[in-house]
Amino acid sequence: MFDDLLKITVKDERRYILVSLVGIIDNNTYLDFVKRCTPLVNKKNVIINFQELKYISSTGIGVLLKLTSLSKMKGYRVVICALREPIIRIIKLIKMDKLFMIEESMEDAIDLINSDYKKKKK
Amino acid sequence: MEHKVVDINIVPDHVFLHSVQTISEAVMAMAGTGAMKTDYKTYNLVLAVDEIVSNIYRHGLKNSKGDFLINLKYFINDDKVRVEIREGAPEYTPPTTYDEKMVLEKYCGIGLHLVRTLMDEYKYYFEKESKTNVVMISLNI
Repeated sequence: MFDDLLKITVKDERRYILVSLVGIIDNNTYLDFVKRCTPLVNKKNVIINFQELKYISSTGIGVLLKLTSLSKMKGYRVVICALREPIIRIIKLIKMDKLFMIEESMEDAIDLINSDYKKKKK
Repeated sequence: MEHKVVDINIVPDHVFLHSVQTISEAVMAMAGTGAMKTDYKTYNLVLAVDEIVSNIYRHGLKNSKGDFLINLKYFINDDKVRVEIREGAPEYTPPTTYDEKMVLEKYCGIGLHLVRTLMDEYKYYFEKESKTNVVMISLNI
C-alpha cells in the first residue's frame, strides 16, 4: 500500500506557491512537511497538491490545521487539492472538511486563488 | 469462534508502519472480506494501529527505560477483526471525549478521535499484575 516516504516539491508562482506531495505523511515524515511549509504560508497563498499522497495520519492533519491557521493570520489561504479517495473519506468522517479549503483538482485550486486576487483588486 | 492469527513484538521505529501494513493486509485477506470492502477497511485498520502505536511512541516511550517493545495480537472470527496492543509504559488515562477546542488550539487529540471514529470498538485498560497498558480495537467486516 505505501512504499514511499515523503517527497516535497515547491514551485513559486506569481500569486501562489504550489507544494506537491508524493508518498506518505505519518509520525516519521510530518516534521519535513512542517519545516518546508511553515515559512511558505507566511509569504503567499499556498496550494498543496495531494494527488500523489497515499496516506496521512493525524500528525499530518494536525500540521494542515496549523498551516491553515498561520496562513489566515497573514491574510492568505492554504488550499488543498486532488485528495485521493481514502484521505478525503477520512477527513469527511471526522468532519474536518469544513476546516480546510478543499478543491477537487489543481486547476480548481488555481481558479480559486485567481478569483480571490481579482476580487481584492476590485 | 475467535482465532489468534498474529502475535508479534515490534520496535516502534520508522519501519513499523510497513510492518503494520503488511500484517493488517494479510489479516484482512485471511478474514476473507470482499475486494472493495478490504481496501478501505484495511486502510482504516492500518491507520488505527498506526495512530495507537505512534501515540505510545510519542507519549509512553519518553517515560520508559531500556528496550521498548510493543506487542500486537490480531484475532479474527466470522465477522470481526480484533487487535490488542500491549506495552509496558506507565499507566495513562486516555480522554473519553473528543475535545474540538484542544484540536483547534493545540492540534492534538486527532489520533484518538480517528481511532474511535474508524473502529467499531475501542477500549483501554491497565493490567495491574503485569503493569501493562492494553488497547483493544475491533472492526466489523
